[in-house]
Order: sequence, then C-alpha cells, then structure tokens
Amino acid sequence: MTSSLVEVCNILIGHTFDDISQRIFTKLANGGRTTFNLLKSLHFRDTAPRRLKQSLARLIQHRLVVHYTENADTDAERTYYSVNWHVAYGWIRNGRLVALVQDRHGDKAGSLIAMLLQVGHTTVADLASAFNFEAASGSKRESGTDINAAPHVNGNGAANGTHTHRERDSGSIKSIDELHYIMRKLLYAGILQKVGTHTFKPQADAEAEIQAVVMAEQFPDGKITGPRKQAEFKRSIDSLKRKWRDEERYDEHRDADTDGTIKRPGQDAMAANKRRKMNGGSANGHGEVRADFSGPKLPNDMSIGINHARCTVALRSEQLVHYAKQYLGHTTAGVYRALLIALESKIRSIRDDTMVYEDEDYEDEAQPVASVMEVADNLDTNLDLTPPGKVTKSSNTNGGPKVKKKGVIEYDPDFADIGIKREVQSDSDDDITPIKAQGRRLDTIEQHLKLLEEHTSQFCHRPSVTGSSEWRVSFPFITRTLIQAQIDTTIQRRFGTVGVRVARMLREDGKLEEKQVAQRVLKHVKDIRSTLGLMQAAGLLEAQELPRDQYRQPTKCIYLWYFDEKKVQAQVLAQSYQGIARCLQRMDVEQTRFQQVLDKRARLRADSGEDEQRTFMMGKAGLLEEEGAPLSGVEKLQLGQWREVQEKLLAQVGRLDELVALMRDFDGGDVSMIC
Amino acid sequence: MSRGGRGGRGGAYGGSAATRMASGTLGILIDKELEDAFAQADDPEIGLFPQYFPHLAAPATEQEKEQIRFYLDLQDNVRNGWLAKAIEGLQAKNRQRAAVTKKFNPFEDVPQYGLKRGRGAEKVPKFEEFPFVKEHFPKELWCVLDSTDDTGAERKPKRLKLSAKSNRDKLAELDDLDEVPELDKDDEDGAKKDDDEDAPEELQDNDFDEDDPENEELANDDYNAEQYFEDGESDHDDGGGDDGGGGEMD
Repeated sequence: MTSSLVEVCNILIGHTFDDISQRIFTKLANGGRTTFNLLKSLHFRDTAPRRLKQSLARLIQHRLVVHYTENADTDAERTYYSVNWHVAYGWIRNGRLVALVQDRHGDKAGSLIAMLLQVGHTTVADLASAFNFEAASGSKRESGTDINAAPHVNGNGAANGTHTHRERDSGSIKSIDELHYIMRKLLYAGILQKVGTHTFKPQADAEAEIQAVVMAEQFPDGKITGPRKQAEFKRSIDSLKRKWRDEERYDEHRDADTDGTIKRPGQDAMAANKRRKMNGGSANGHGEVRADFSGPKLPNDMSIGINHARCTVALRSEQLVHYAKQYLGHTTAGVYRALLIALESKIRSIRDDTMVYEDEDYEDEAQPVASVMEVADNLDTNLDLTPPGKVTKSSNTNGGPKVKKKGVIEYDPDFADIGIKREVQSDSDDDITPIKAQGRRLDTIEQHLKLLEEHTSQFCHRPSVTGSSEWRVSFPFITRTLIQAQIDTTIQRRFGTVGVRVARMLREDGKLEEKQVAQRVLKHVKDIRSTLGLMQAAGLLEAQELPRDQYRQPTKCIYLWYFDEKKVQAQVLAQSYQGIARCLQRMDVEQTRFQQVLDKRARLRADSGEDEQRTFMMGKAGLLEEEGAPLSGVEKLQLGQWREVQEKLLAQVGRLDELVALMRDFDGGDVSMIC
Repeated sequence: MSRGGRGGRGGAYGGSAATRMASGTLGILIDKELEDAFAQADDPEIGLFPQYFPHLAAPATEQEKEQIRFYLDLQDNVRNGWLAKAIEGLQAKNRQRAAVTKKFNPFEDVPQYGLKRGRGAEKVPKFEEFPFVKEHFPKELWCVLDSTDDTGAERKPKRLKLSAKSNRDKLAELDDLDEVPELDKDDEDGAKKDDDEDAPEELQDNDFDEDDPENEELANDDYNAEQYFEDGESDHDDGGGDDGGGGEMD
C-alpha cells in the first residue's frame, strides 16, 4: 500500500466521518489487519470500548472496513478487521457517481443513489420506509379523496420531513412502486448490487475460504500433485468463486417476491399496501410521464448497496469519448458514446479474474458486442446525425426559399451561418415511411462507426466481416492507447517536444545508445544529453550499463537508455495520489480562514431546520434580533469565496482522480490496492 | 581584453578589473545591465522571489461543478447524519449542555442569548435504533447494534431516516437563510409551548422524555420564577421606569 494512497484515504475519511472513525481507519491502514482487542489496547486506551465499537460499526456499515471471523463459534474465535481500499478511495468518486446516475437514469434515480450513499447499504424494506410513503398516502385515504389521484405527499415524499423547504415535488419519488421500479432498473444497470456476507470479507480471506472448501470437498486427502490435479483444483476454485459471485448477483427470477406470481398492473401486490390499487400506478392530472411501475417487487429483506466499479466503467467511457472527440469531432464522438453505453450494460466488471486468456485474440472475443440497433437506442436525442454536405437534388444555394411543397423545407443548419441555405433531401420527406427513416438513421450511424473503425487508434471494429453489423470495442488495446497518450502529454508539459519525442521513440525502439537516440530524434548529441539526464532524474527514463571488459571501466561501457512504461505509469499514479492529498490538505487549511462564518452558518441551520420543537422562552423583542441576525452581506460574500475555493480544489481533485482511474483501474490489473 | 563590450567582458571581468583604465568615478568599468542583474539578485523583493507565472488550472466546468455539489451534499449529510449524531460523544455533550442550562437563576441571572438557545437537549437519535443488518457484522459488534431492553419487550420497529437536504443552489441557500430567525415563530411557539413537549416525534430521545414532565411543570407552575417576571416584553417605556421605581420605593 503506497503511503500516498494511505494519506489520501485518511484525509477523506477525516472529512466525512468523526475523529474516532478516522483514527481507527488510520491505524488499520498503517498497521494492517488486527483484532478488536489489539486495536483497543494499542491505540485506543482512553476510549470507551462501546464508543470504539460504534465507530467501527459505522465504518463497516459504509463498507470501508471489512472483517473476517475465523474459527467461528469456537473458543478461539477471532475477528480481524482491515480496510477496504476500493471503497475508501472510491469516496472521491461518489459525487461523480451521483451525477452519472442522474444523467443516465434520471433525477429520481440520482437522488435515490445519493440517499443510499449516506448509509452505505441497507435493506429494501428500510429504504422504502425511509420514504414515508404509507404515512403520506394514508392521510389522504382517510380524507376520502379520489383513488385515481396521485398520492400527493405531505410536502415531499422523499425525506422524513426535516428539510422540507428544499424538496421540489417533481423530483421526488412518490410511490413505492416507483421506488421498486427505479431500484430494479439500477440493479440491472449494475449500479446497485446485492450485498451479502461475502461482500464484507477481505478478498484474500474469501479466496482462502474457497480453497479450503474445495480442498475439503474434492480433495479430501489434501494432496494436489501433478499438473492435472492442479488444473482441476484451479477450475473448481474458479467455479466456486463464480458461484458465490452469482449468488450475490441480482437475478430477477431468483429474487422475485415470495409468492412468485407476476404482478399485474392494478392488482394488489402486498397485503400491507392496499392503497396502491390504482390503475397501474399511473395517475391522472399530472403532466409527467408515468411509466407502468408495476412489476415484480424486490424482496424486502434483500440488502442493496452501491457498486463502485460501475463508476469506473462509466469513467472509462467518458475518457474514450473525449479522446475520440479530439480526432473525429463532436457527432462521431456522440455515436461512439452511444456504442460504449450499449456495451457498458454488457460488461460485468472490468476485472474478471476467473477468466484467463491464452491469447490476445481470445481476450478480444470475450469482449461484448453491440448491434447498431442498440447503438441507435442509446443515442443522445439531441445529436443531429444529418451528414453535412450531402448534395441533394433540390438544393438552393442562393438563399430565398422556394417553397415547392406544402410541407416545411428543412435547411441544412451547418451552412446557415455563411448565408447558404441548402435544403436537406426534402424530396422524400412526404413519402418517407418510419421504417425508411429508421433505416436511414441506422445507415448514418454505421457510417460514423466506420469512421471510428478506420482511425489509427482503432476505436472499434467489427468482429465478423460477413455483414451482420455488430460492433465491438477492444478495451485492452484502446486503454493502452489512452494511457500512452496521457503519459506523452505529461512528458510534453514537463520536458517539451524533445522530451516527448525521445520517450515515444524509445518506447517503440527499445534500448538505444545515446548516439542512436540523438540520431533518431534529429538532434545533436550534446543537446540531447541534458534532456536525457533530466528525464532520468525525474524517473521517466532508465539507463542500463553494459560493461565491455571485466573491470567495468566507465569509459568502455555501453550505456543504453530505455523507457519503461509500467514504471512511468506507476509513477504518475503515485504523483496523482500525492496531488490529491495535497489538495485536500489545502482545503483544510483554507477552511480555517472561513471558520467563523461557517460556524455561524451551521448554528443558524441547526436552529432553523432541524429543531422545530425548540421553545423560545424569551419574548419576541428579545435578544434574538440583535445577535441572531441572518448572515450579513460581508458574510455572504465570504461564504461565496469559500464555495469558490472548494470548487477549485475539488475540481482539481476530480481531474487527478480521472488520471488515477486511467492509470490504475481501466485495464483491470489492480496495482496498488491489494491487501 | 576588450573595453566596454559585453561579450568579452564576461570572462575577463573578475581578473582584470583592477588593471583597467578608469572610466567613471570608481575606477572600474561598469556594465550597467550586469550590475542591475546582480543587484536584483540580492534584492529581497525581486531576487529571492522572482516573478513567476504559475500554470493556472482551467476553472471547473459545469459538469464538474455539479459533481462537486453532489459530493459536498453527501459529505454534509453523512457528517450530520443519523449515525454521526448518535455516536455517544455528541450525546454526552448535549446532555452536558442541557444540564448547564437548567441552572439559570431567573432572579439573578441575566437572560443570555446562549442560554436561551440551549434550552432543551437536541433530539439526538440513538445509535442502536439504526436499522442495521446484523448478519453483515461480526458477532463482537452485535452489542452496539441492538438496543438492550430490560423488559425484553418488542423494540420499536426501526426506521431509516435519510436526509434529502441538498445545497443545490448556492444563491437560493443564502437567500433562504434570510428567513431563518423568524420572529413570528416565537408567537406560535409561545402559544403552543405546552403542546410542544407533547408533540410526538416518532423516535423520541429517551433523555428528552425524562425531562418532559419537568418542563411541563416548569411551564405551568404558579411558582415558576422564570415566568414570574415578564422579561421586559411589555416594558417598552423605559423612560418612566426610574421615576416609577423611585416613586414606589416611598
């Protein structure tokens, strides 16, 4: 565990959780896994054990700490606690995750995820009860309102009444049906995941358990000799791992509600919620689109939590799109984005360690494919796919619309600003059927995809040439391209074009001598020497010495320069961690500047929002008016400044986090987080 | 050895300065620019801290701002969420605060802003009442996950409380705070002072419950010293106070 990663996680936990939790986390992170008693006796002598346990439970609730009990139910039972790096570091990405869910699945899903993040994981029943549906619709029921009206929730349906002035009705989830519908959608998308006891075990322990189980079942004598048995052993392990993982994966049929009947719209699903007998959950009198929210309900005792790996997949897509945009423009990048989104749902996780590929080709084949239809489905509706410059029969280049038909003539928007009005294939507007329109659209999409395919970076390709239009993205390859591009950019910023030329050249050509380097980079040797030296000092290049005689005289050695990609990647990663840690620390320091105003604001908030039952014993002309005045203009200005500072620093953290994701997460090889 | 030319001076400056022909008052050739450069290097303002143009990062895009907003909301909600408040340290602090405010002596103590606000302990939720899923936790920790009932009777069903608070709009938030200390609130509160303590919130803090009857008594008692005086509410004409007081003393 790199120390910078430890630093980052500690600061993150400290910002959000209380100080005892942070100390627990730090001690576990620095010291490795321990038992509770050891932890208490070594580091927390002055804390009440109950307090310590509460903080520990809180960390476990958020899945920041995992635990493993060995020799359960015996006298020698011991529980080991260790930190879960993925979730701890992933805390940075939570904001991005919520924004992503909001983008892809709507506001309500976004707010649901935000709420779930507050508590880590919870059961379906508890989550439903937090929304207070029954209380809201119950009151209306008693007053005898029309069943068909949507249950107008008391102020809001989302929270337990504390911050009512914040919620807007349209953004909150109104019925339990809707809640289940959204949850199912998110489960399918992989953003929510079922949480079981295995989720709380450290990975190494889980593997050891699997091994023990397999040994006990299939190899009772405990001997695994010979390649055949070893292979069998490995296969059994893999299959058991997969079985455990699948158990934890949500499956509609397995996890459907108890009686297993298909819930028809309008039919009463559960006995407790009788008032949901409406016409399929839809309502009259509201402008919003009401989907049919009925369907199999999730079982109430299923625990769900957030799957942080999804965020990584989405991050990767975003970066690929950004990269494509630089080369191929906005529209094609939009099509690429649709393709990636279509593929996202088919990818289980970036890292599938039960599969080992013998060859790159096999690895390629195991990647999912998406058809053009799926791409079209996922396409952003705002994207205008009309290919510019399409010559039409009735094009009018001199302005002046000639209305030839009754229908509206569409003008190609791309040339509008030059003053040229060019009609867009209007001849077939009247007789174009929906199927034809769809077909034309698919054609256009295919053309964009072909553009992507032909580019040197090979954004996507068609696995089968025979014409069935299925597209695949070979992620390993393109991820490497992305990483290289990023490293090149970094080197360029630090060492200029010469430096990046040297790096690229050495990456391709391997190990070279100084003279050869200079030759290929088209520079003099004495010019290149300083650059090489500087880059070596920065750790980007390495030199190898080949002695020519047995005494290793420096004058007679050959020095070879080379560029080690993996090392540079790890180095950039470590530096990113440091950058993030520094930004967060800086935020702490800046906060002290604004501490007074922030305290006042917190106090005002506490007074106004949460404690409505507070009694004011003093009269209205009391002291409240003078001292408890709302924030003055100067203070508001200061709060604004603080907000700006936060934004600057957190934006930087977000960008560094993207870099970290690129260097560490995208290719699936978990570099620094193995516990 | 050239005179005056800047190129040749560089190497020859140190060694042959003394032997040069005088041109100027000091007897050595002075290269203005070089002198300035040396002077600047020693000058604490310019030399030690030369002008440096740092690379400034691009400002946050709209997308990034949205993400930041979500992150800060989440941080707020977790920091002030249920489990955070329930951790016993905070509870103890509140109990302390409540204990202190009880001792307000209405005859002698001056009513203070802080005391007034500190009345009644904050509603601190209990840690055990959070709906934990026990199977996910090790057995060691089960004692803090469950509330220990002496009677063994059924516990109150646990309900999850989530905060949907979000600081989405900075300006709106700052505007909202304008309404904060609404003074009409005091009227309403005064009117339903008695009902306030009774007003049920689903999960009441036991501490507050214990205090309940006491507060009730205090409110309604004839011998309630705190309510004996009207706290200067109707005492608006301070002008005649002295005279009136003086008159009465007779």
